[in-house]
Order: sequence, then C-alpha cells, then structure tokens
Amino acid sequence: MCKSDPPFNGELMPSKSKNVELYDRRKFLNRVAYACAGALGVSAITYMARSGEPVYRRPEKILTIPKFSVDAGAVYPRMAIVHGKDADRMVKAALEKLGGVEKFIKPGDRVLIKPNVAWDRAPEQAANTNPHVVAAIIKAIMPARPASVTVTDVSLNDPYRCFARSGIESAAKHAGAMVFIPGDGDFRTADLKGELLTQWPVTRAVFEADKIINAPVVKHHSLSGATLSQKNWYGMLGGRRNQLHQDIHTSIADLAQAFRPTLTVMDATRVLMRNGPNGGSLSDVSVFDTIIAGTDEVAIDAYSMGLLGLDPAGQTFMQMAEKRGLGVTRWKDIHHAEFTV
Amino acid sequence: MKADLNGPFSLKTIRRVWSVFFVAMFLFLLWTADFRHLKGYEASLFLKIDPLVYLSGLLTGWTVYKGLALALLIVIPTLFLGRFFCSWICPYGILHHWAGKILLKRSAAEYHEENAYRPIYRIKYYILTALIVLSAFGASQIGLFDPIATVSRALIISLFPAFDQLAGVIYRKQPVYLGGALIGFLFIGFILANRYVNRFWCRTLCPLGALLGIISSVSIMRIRRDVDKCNDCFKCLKGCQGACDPHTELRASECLACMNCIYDCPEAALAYGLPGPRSSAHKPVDANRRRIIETALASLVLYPMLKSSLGSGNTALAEVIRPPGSLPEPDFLRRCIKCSMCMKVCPTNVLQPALLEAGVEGLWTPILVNKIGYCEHHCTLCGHVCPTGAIMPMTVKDKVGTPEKKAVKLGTAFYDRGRCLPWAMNVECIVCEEVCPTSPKAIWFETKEIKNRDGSVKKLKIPYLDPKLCIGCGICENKCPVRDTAAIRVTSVGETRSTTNRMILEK
Amino acid sequence: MTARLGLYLLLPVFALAVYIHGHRYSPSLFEYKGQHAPALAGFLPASLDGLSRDGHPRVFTKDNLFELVDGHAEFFISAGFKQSAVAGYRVAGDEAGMPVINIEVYDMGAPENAFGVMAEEGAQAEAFDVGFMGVKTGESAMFIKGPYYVKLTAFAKGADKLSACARAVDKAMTGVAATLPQLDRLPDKGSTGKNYIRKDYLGMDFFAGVFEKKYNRGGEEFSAFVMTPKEGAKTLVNKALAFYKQSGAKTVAVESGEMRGWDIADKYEGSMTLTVAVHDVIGVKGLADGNARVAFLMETLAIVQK
Repeated sequence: MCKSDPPFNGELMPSKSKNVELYDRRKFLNRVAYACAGALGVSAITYMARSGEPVYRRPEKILTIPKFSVDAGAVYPRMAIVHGKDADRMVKAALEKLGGVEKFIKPGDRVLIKPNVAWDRAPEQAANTNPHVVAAIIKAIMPARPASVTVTDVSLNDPYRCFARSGIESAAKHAGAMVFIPGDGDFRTADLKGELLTQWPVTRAVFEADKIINAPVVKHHSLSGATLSQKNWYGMLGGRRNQLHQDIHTSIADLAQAFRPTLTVMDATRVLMRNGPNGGSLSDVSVFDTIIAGTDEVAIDAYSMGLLGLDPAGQTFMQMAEKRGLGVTRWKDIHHAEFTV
Repeated sequence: MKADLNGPFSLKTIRRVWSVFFVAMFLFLLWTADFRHLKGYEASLFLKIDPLVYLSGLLTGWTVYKGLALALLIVIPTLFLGRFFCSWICPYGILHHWAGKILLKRSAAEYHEENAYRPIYRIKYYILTALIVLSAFGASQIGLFDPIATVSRALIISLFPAFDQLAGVIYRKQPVYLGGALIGFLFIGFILANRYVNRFWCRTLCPLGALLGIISSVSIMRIRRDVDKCNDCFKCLKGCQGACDPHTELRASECLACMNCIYDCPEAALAYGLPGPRSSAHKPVDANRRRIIETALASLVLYPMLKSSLGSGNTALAEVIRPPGSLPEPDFLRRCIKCSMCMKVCPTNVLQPALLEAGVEGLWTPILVNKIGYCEHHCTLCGHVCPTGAIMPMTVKDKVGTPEKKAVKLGTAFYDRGRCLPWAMNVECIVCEEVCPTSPKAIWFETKEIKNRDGSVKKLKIPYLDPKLCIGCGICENKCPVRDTAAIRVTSVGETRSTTNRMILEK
Repeated sequence: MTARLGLYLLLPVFALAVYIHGHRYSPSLFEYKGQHAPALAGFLPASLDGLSRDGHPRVFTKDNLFELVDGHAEFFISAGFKQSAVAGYRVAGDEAGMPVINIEVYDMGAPENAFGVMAEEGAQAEAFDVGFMGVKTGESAMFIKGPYYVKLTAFAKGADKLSACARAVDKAMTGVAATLPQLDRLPDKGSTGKNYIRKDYLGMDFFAGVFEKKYNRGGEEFSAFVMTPKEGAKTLVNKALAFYKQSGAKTVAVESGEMRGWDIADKYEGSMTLTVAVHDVIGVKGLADGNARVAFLMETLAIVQK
C-alpha cells in the first residue's frame, strides 16, 4: 500500500509523481524466486539444446528391405507359362502348377501386390498391368486367407489419374483389396545394399507387408531394351529416381537384388511392342494372351524378351543379374511348364 | 403495416439461411474442381451467374458465351428486387458480412456513425466506369476487381493450399503457386478492413455492387420507411450493411438487402416491399457526374498505354505457354478473368498465375511452369471449367490428335546441349525420351560411340527432338534430372493456337 | 407467407439442379481409348494343324515393312496398309526344323483395299473358297476377310498343308466379317461368283472400283455391279448418261415406285439399267427384259433400305 499523495496530473508532469514503491519481504522473496526460476529455466534450455550443429536433425533410422521369397520345393516347376483368354483361370492354373497358392501365402499374411501403374493410360494401351490380371491375382490368393491385400505403386504421372484410368483401382477394390497411393510423407530411407544404389527413399508399404507379389507387364523400353519384372521394382522408390538412368543396367540389377518377391506374375496378355514404356497408340500393342508366373525373375524376363524380339544375351542387366545369382537367362534350362487353358 | 416479427419466416432469417447455403454451395463447387470429382458439375457456376462477367464478356467479345447467359438470373430479379445478390448469394460479400460481425464490435451509439453513408463509397462507381471503358475497347481487367473472381482466386491460390499446409486434408500433394503470398495478403487485408469499416469492399470497391446498384435504381421492391411511424431513434442503423441511410431517404443503390433494419426498428416503421402511402422518398445513385467523366476519359487514355507496353498480346513471349484449348493471345487476354479455376482443376499444378511474364495485362492469368508440373497428355479439364471461354473445352480425342487431325501443341521443347547429361557430360540418361507421351515419340535418340576422358570408348544414347511431333506438354522438362534449370525446356513457339508464333514451315 | 416459404423451398430446388447437372456428362470429356487396332497376332495361333508356330509373330508397321517385302512395301502402303503380323510354322515336335509354311496377315485398313491387293497379287491364281474370297497356286494361297489380306507360302513339305492351314487361319479370325459392304448390296440368290474390277469396267474409264456379282437364275445368266464413286453417285450417273447419249446409245429414264433409274442400250454390252442408292451406283446387265432389270434393281433397293 502506498501513502496517498495528492492526485497529480501524471500525463503532463510525470516527474512530479510522488508515488513510492513499498517493498515488503514477501514481494522481495517472490521476485528473487521468479528470477532464480527464470535463470534456471533458461540455463536448462540452453544446456539441452547445445550443439555443434546449427540445425537439429533427428537421427534417421535406415531400414533394410525384408526378404519375401519362399521356396515351394524342387518338385514343382519354377516357371509356369499359361496361354488363354480368361485371366482368372490363367492365374489360378499358373499358381496351381507352381505348387498351389498355400505354398506362398500363409493365413494371416499381409500381402502387397505391386503392379505397374506408372502411366496415365487406358488398359488397352498396355502401358500398365492389365486390370483383369491384377484382379485375378487378388482373387487367386484370397482362398489362402491373407490378413490384408494391398495394391500399390509409385506412379510417374499423377497417381490418382494413373490408378483411375488404368482400371486397376476399381479392379482391385472390386476384388476386395485395398489401394495405397503414397503421398510425400510415405517414404522411409532404406539401404538397398547395391553396387550403385545404397540409401534411397522407399515406399513404406514394403515394410508393412509379409509377402510381396510382383505383377509387371511386358513393355519395350528405349534405354534398357525392355521393362519387365526386375525393372518393375523402380516403382518402390521415391526421391530422385530419374537419375538412375545414368547407369540403368546396374540400377536394375541392384533393384532386383534388393527386392526379392514371393512370387512374380508377368502380364503378357497385351504387350507394348514399340514406343515404350508409355506407348500411347493402340498400334504399338500386340495381343499375346499369355501369363508367366514363377519365382525366377531373370528367367521370366528372358522369356518375355522373346515376345519383344530381343535376345537376353544382348541385355546388360540380364547378364549382371545372372552373374549375381539372381536367376538364369536360359529359361529353357529350368524346370518349367507351358500350357493353355 | 403488420409488424414483421423476427422468427423462422422473417426475411432476416431467410437471408441468413440463403447466405449459408450459397457459401456452402460455392465451397462445394470449388471442391468439385478436381479430376476425381468434377463429373459434369458446373464448378464455375458462380462466375457464370456474375453480371459483371456477363457485361464485360459482351463488350470484349461481342458475345454472350454459353453459360454466361445465366447472369440474367441475377440481373432480371435485381431490376425488380434490388441488390439481394450482395447479401443473399455473393460468397465474397457474405464472407465480409461474417468477418464484420466477428471483428467489428462497437457500442450502439458508434454504429450510427459506422453505418451512415460516406461520400467515399462513390469510388466503386468510378472503378466500374474505368473497367467498363477499358472493356469496351477490348482490354478486360475486370478480373482484378470482380468479387467472385477475386474470392475464387484467393481461395484457390492462397487459402486452400495454406489450410492444407496445416491440416493436409484437401490435396494429396500440396500445390504451390507463384505469388500466392501476395494474393493471400490482399485477401486477408480486405477481410481485416472490415474491422475498421463494415463491408469495406462491398461499400467502397466492388464494381459488381456498383453495377447492381445502378440496376437497382428502378427496383420497385425496396426498404420503405413509414414517415409517420418513424420516431428518429436511429436504431435501424445498428445492423445496416450497406450504409444506405434507412433512417432518412434510403439510397436504394447502396442497400444490400440484409433486412436487418426491419427487425431493429422498435416502431415497425420499416418494411421491404412496394411503396405505401406514407413511404419515405429514396435518394438516387450518388456519384459525382464530373468524376465519372474524368474517370472515363482517364481510362480512355489508359487503354492505348496498356496496349503499347510490351505484353503477350502484341509479342510472342517464350514463357507465356497457355493451357491447351486457349484462344489466340489477344483474344485470350480479352476473355480471361483471372478466376484461377483452371489452376484448381489442373492435376499436376503446372498452371500458375503469371506475374509480369505476360505483361501488365496478363497479371494472374494462367501460364504453364513446367518446373512445377506438366500438361497431362489425356487431360482437358481446364477447358471444361473456364467460365468465359478463354480456354475452350475440347474432347480428349481432339487434344491427343488422330492421324487425320493434328494434336494440340502448347509449344516446343528445346535441348540445352550444354546441360544435357548425354550431350555435355557423356553420361547416359534419356529420361526425356522415356516419358515423352506421344506415339511415335517426339524425342528420339541416336546411339553414338564416344570417347571417355580416360580414352576408353562407350556407347551412348543421345537424344534429339522432332519439332513436328512435339506437343510442348513439358513432361520432359519436368522429369529431367538436371533439376535447377532443366536441360530440355519448353517455350511457346509452335503453339497451335497462334498463327504467328511458329517456326517450322508446315501445311 | 407463402412467398417466404417459397424462398426456403427454392434452396433444395437449386441444390437438386446442381446435383442432377453434375451427374450428366459425356465420358468423352475424360476418356479416350485411342483408335481401334486389330489384334493381328491373335490370328496366328501357336499351333495349327499339326504344325507349331516358330517363336512369336513379328509385327510390322509402315516404318519397317520394307524389312519384310523390300520394294513391294510401296505398293502395300499406297493401298492403305496399316500393320502386318508374320509367323513361320514348322512340324510339331521338330524344334530344330525349318518352317514349312509362312503366314503373313496384312491389315489393309478397309475391305476394299484388301480386295484390291488380292486382285493384283492373285491375278493368275485359281479360285479357292476360304475367307470371303481366296485364290491359290501350287505353293501359295491367299485370301481376304474383312480388311485383312492373308498370304500363305509353303516350302518343301508344306505344300499339302496349305489348304488346311488357310482354313485354320480363317477360323482363327473370329469376329471378322467375311463380307464386303458393297457386295452386300447385291442379292445373294442365284449368285455364282464375285469379282472386283479396279478400272475400265465395261471399257468405260468412268466405271472404276467396281464390284460385280454374276448370277444364274432359272438358267438365265446375267450380272449386277455396284460402285461407290468418289465424285458422288448422281454425278457419275450424269457423266455416264452424257457419254452414252453422245455416242448415240439410247437412254431412257425408268421409274417404278421409289426407284428412279436409267435404261442404257450399250452397243457391245447389251442393255443395262442403272440406279442410284444413297452413295452407290447399282446396275444390272445381261437381262434382255427391261422389266426384269427393273425388278432386280427393286430387289437391291429393298436390301439397302433394310
């Protein structure tokens, strides 16, 4: 409480204010306490934030790609080539030949299907996997009672348009699978442990799956000759993947080495013969009505190259993959089956 | 007059319900402006019913283009009912009304000063004059001041992306826009102006309001004050939105038909309707005739000045790559009202509001910036949402072209051989060839043998461009690994919409 | 009061109008599947009558057709060539053997073009009933079906398999109509053969691109023809009438019901009657009786109108 002085005209003559500050002990201690608390707080913050670096960076966990491959056993063929017109029957028959879907998918598995949905094209233009084939794969694995089936890809054109116009989004949903379109925040850094590709952003769908089925389509590609099952893993990467073309063959081999799927189902129902990988004109497409399923991606790619009129011996990434032990280019040498349904 | 009580059937309540409905519909239609949702929705509906767009379109193009005739649905009722559009339908006006309610808190006494008419409110008539005169000579700049175009632009370019930055719900990939901050500042500025003057934009600046005000001069349904019942308490000014002086001789051209005064009057002296025997007189449109003539003359002089400055209308400019289906540049500048609907609907975010790339007249008109996106080969959405026909709608088949009819070209791509990895640095690439969407591809390559620095020999695929096939979509520029300035860039030359901006001799 | 209620009710009306308008749209706004291209490789099955296909069919377009047929590519391209698929067939089980039959399927774009190609290539061969029309020699067979021209060539032991293979390919061409739209205009009853005359039909230079059907009805032999002139049916008829009149032949206009025709008494070919049907000129000759000719033309018009 201050002694009351006569009221003063504080605005005109502030110096004439005779108000005195009355200090008592409580106030004093209060103030000291606040000051000490402030000093402590600021010192604590300073201590915790001390750093030799100007900007704080959360240590990022580098992940590794899990192993997804399964061996059905030597008695079954490692590759099944099926000709026919009904995708459902063809895929089912192919999986049966390889040992039955139960050999590959166990109940409770979270299954990820990776078709080629890179381009904003209609199904007839054969720039993406045939939606009927994708639906057939989903329907064929459902009896094995997976916990979930997700279809995903990292598209090159606008993803919503790619999934919609390719027919794969609606085919997947009708067959009972979920569709996952990654956004900017859905990538995790992983070490691909390749000769050229080390740490790259990879879509988080890979780390949330127990089994992966690769579902590529056979297409011509100017740079690598063809884009088949090994190159399909491109669609798991984010970031600056348009730099991989500078050493495309090593990149493909590294990708094939890092991502080993449970199963590969190659769509050769419609094949993009020219102007790949995105085509555009229907006259670039040839109908072959074939599906190739198997566990040896190199062999499947070698067979598919024949459809395009290419020789596997002439493609560097095929030789590289074989040298690394990822598969065989002479597909006729492995145990395979070819039939029509 | 029977006392009109404030209840569910009072004009005030109906006006409130309408205002919520139309703001919701406006936001809904903006939401449909997207590849996944568009279907057949009239995403630009509000722009099509806008009488100012109708008038300007009539003057610049001598046409009432398609849906713009819908403006009659507003003009004709306004002739009879007054400026109901401003408080019942206009989303910008309604937003200002809500902003004013939240921001402006004055005591009852202060409202009387606040909502009295001020001479400064004449400015909107001068703005309207300037815009009309310019339009009459073919230089349409109404997009700068038209309220619907302004609110569309503000929401699309700054508000929605900003909201998505925080909540991440509107877009899959958050778009970025050139100069979005400026448009955002202007929007916030005008909304905050309501803190100082209620409905600042509507009263002072809005040329559409001025136009509707002039049209309302002959309206027979107005706010009428019974001079006998009125006791001069000034309570009617409390909620008055238009500052139209309901307490004296009401200015019908300023009245925004908010209906608040009717229910604020304790004597039930105010009503909306036909004149009664004791209804007060009305004041005519207040605009200084001399000033109008001065403004008109100034605009007349401004017009040739605009046309003499270097802009896309008189020169072929490399950076002015317009959306597919655009009219030739001089006509485009006449029709574009800078509403940004095309930018909202564009799936790759390539359409950007130009700043000065197209000259002064081209401010905020859409251009393609291929660094940010590219024109999707099978997409024609921009033409379908453009309300004035600056971008004409076309089918995907027409855009892509058939062997009989050529594809639509936006420009041509050019290699910067000093930056291209195969050309300049002996490094394998050809991403551009891979992503080129035409069939056959406009980018082709030659396999050459080159010598490395250490003398070893390497086979390299080196890209070339075929200008006859290139459609200027820009995906090559967008996907080129040389990120900062791409090694292949698209410029506007070769665009099919222009007869002069060509370089290759063709039939 | 009702006016105020009406103001409220207007709102759902607006909402409904916007919604209904939103759901009415044409898919061509968003979709374009590209022009229809035939599945040529599907016409060359993996196995055919005891032979199995050697590898996969090779597809050729305008750009690389010369790799298949050398200089002859010009002929095909100017005749409307779009695409072709080629495959060789060897004896089944004989993996290392050489192909014994080579099959080439050409998509000529339109049935008339295929017809034209076969008329040139198969001029010297005997008729062979496969597809829409076919011919064969000792070592080759060719036929047309729809817009496709199919050529089979036999090597070594393949000659006896030619017919069977041709029929098998014909069967594999499902969904392809074995007709020519112009020839469909002429009735089938009593038809004994069909022919395509590229130019100078009846010795007249204005009769070109003519499809002819020969008939034998009740012992009487006659023929009918149809053509779709580029300059328009009416113009062609006027040209023909002017020519005949000038050379002294008698021309008489005839009418019967809806049909308007012209009788022409050609010195060398006998009497014929012409009529116009939409874009085509149809004629009949070889029947002496004018009324019979008119009746025949009425028959053809009935087909057109169906």
